[in-house]
Amino acid sequence: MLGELEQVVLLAILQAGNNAYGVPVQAEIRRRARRTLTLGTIYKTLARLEAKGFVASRLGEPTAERGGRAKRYYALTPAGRLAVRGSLAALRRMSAGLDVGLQPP
Amino acid sequence: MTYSPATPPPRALRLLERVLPADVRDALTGDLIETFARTADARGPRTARLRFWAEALGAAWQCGTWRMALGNPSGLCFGLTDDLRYAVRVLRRAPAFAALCVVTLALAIGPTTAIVSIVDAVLVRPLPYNDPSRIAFVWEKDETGKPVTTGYSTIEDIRADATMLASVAAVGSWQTILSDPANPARLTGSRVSWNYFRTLGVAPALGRDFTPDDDRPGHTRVVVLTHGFWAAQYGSNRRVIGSTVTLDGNPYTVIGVLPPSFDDMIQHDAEIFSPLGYVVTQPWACRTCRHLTAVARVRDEVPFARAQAQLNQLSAQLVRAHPTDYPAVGMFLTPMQLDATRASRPALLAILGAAVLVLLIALANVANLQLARGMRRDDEFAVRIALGARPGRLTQQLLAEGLVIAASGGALGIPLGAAALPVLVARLPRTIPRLDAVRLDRPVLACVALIVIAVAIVTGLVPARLARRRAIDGAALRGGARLTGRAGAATRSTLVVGEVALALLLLVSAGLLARSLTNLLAVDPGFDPANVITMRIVSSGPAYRTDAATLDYRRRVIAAAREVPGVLDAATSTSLPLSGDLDRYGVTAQDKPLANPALAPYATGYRVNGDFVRTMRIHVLAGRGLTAQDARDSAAPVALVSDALARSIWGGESPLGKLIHVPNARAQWARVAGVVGDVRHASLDIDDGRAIYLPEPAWSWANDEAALVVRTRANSPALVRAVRSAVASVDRSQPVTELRTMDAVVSRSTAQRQLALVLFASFALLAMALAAAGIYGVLAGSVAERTREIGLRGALGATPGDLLMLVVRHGLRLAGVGVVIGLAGALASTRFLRALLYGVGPTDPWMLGGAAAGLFVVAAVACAVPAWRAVRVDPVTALRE
Repeated sequence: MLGELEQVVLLAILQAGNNAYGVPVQAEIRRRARRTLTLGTIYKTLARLEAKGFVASRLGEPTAERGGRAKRYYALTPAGRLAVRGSLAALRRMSAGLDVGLQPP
Repeated sequence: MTYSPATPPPRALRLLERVLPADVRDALTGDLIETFARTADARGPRTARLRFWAEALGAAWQCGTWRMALGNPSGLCFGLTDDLRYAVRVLRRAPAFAALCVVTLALAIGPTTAIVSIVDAVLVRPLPYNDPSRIAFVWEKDETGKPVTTGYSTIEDIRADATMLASVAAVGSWQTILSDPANPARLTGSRVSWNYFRTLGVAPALGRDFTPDDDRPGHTRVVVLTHGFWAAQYGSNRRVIGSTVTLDGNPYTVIGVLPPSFDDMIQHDAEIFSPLGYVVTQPWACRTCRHLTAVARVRDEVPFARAQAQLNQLSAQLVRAHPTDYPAVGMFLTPMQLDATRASRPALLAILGAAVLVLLIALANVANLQLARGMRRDDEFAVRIALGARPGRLTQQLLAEGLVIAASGGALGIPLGAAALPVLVARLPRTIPRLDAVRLDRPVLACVALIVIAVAIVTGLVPARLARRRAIDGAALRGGARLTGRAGAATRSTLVVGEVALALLLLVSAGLLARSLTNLLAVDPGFDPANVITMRIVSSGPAYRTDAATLDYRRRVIAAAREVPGVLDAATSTSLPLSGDLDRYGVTAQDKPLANPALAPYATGYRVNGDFVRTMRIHVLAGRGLTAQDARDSAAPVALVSDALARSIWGGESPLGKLIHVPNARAQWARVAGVVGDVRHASLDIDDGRAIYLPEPAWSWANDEAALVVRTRANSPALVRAVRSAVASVDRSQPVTELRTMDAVVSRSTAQRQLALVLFASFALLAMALAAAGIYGVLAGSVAERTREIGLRGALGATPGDLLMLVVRHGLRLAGVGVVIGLAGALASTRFLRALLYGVGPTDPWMLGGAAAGLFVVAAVACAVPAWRAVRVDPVTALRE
């Protein structure tokens, strides 16, 4: 099973779609999970996911807006998709039938 | 206004470049720059910069574990971050321990920060002039070998002949009244020769400097303002240059404003400067008219000693040429900063020393706590060593823990110091120069940072040394904890002994200061300050051009004050004891002629209106006081002399009826009508009561200001207000300032000592508490360690009293060794306090004994809880364990 941060970051990449580099990923996590993660934390998690083969990255074009620095875009590998799916399913199964004070989604 | 986009903080950028692994460096930094621009637009550049920093530090923080995640990246990630993270985690698990350490350090670092700020501004930071180390005062030498101010003719000679001085300026004090119909104000300033600011290397920020043309008699109606006065009085209006101000009823043109950094070392609160306009032919420019301060710039490359030698040579020539004008051969050339801070140096350095002692005690305490904890972490270290950790790694980790503790202590202590700083500065006497320049700036922070690093190293290395030894012994794993335990206990005992010794030093110092202050306040000032109100009255402007008008104003003020119900008496004097006024004249007696008039004994001159002696309750020892008739009768001038002056002129003879001469008196001779008791004038601790009292009309001129003293039945705020408004109603155009009770004047004259005492006393209390905590810690540790032994002793028949004594003896032995070392230290070092002491020797046996006894009592109290625990040890449980 994935770690919590890994899960959140993988889902954020999916939510950000084609535009998944650091800034949108951080924004998605802030908007949806209501958590402020530093970019340091996010990149560290991404590095770990990349090492596990769950995400792949490619370099974008350097832009002036970023002080001439290139973006690094991330995307899920098939293994990454499987891992997210498995992790979410496990969570759903674990919480099935429990009343933890939450409305069912 | 043009829009300029905010840029990310460059230092944070550099940090990122340094610490991030290469493969994400560009991506992450680019993301941050992008976010920065958006935040700056939405929330302002300040917020954006703050967030950028937070992100950058966060990234640096992560970079330690990053390496583990990424294998082996090429970024510069030092292993210390790992250790720091681990240290934070370890300390979080022991919150009470961490809090104790951090608070202890903060309580020591806070005061140290504040005091370092003050010492830096007053004693260390160069004066705000160009090449300030070349600027010096030139003083003449008086008959006792002390430096004194000089006369204009002498300054002209120095200027002409002392070739090693690049320039010499003359400065005289100047009190003037700003004639503002709505709000007349008394201004403090200096009259200076045209080259004063040039000598200092200061150029006006606005307008122009004085020129030789301004510095001629009759051409001196121009003024240069200080930046502070310009801002307060004119709201920093640039058009003030060229405008006219009315001072003492005369028009002056404002020609310049000094830069904000300017700080005058002669008149600390100077607001305004005007040219001196002296020439040597004027009577007040004479060689014995010593009312000017000479400021010189020593030529580059010329050592002070050579310039000093040249001045001595010059002085010898002058004495040969004018033997009756100089009391002694020789001059003093003293660096300005050293000279201006001479009076405050001993107190400031003593306080700094005390702060350093507290810091050392706190350091010992934290090291002690670390040690105690280190012993309990034997297992952790043993396991790590067994798993192959090199001793160096353990040291590095303990250092990281020390660093986290010290940095937290600093993070808490520095704001503490910053908060205490204004309170402290407000309590310092205004006679200390450069107080306006006191701030917690970068050099101070750098100094505190160095202290923090030193603290980290000590608190880390002490336990690390023991952990290393353990690693070599491998003892912990083999169950031989006793061996290392003993080494740790020895180190801890040493630390506690050191704490006790330092605490004793502080306690003795505080005691000596307290004793000095009580002695000082018990000194009879020679007058009765209780129920006396004092204020400064001034008469300036066209209405007071004649002396008669000024004297009439004084009389009307006295009459008005006496009208107020509750007032017993009122009088004025040109000088007021203990207020900082200094007005001294050489007095010669007709029947005791001197070969060299310059050697005439100096006496404080009180030119009085009304019965000053009776109002102040100065004792009349022989003859009578001054009456209103004396003031009117200029045909037969009279004077009072103080006992000390009478003795120094006539020895045991009665001075009554003798004739004396005072320079500047209207008549050549005045008859001594009475002898009065000595008054402490300059300071309570200076016993120089030589004084002369003259009716003010007997003087060649009337001062434009004087101190009014009013004796009341009982001082009350309402009465003070009533007196003030009665005085103010005499002439609303004249300011009434420095309204104080005479008790406040006396108390203020001891302000520096009071502050030193308060600081030393609080430091001593803190030190005692820390030392007690140290003793407690060692004993508690030892009782815990020796539970089995104590249980065995109990089982073998030791009484509770025996067990109690076992612990108490241990505690008192620690205290005893500490006290002995502390006493030796006190004998060696309290002499540095000598300048602050009064009526008590630096090695006063009562003080030393008292402090030692006090510490023993505290040590005994600290023994109580561990001793009680020892008594409560149940032999059965203890032996079964």
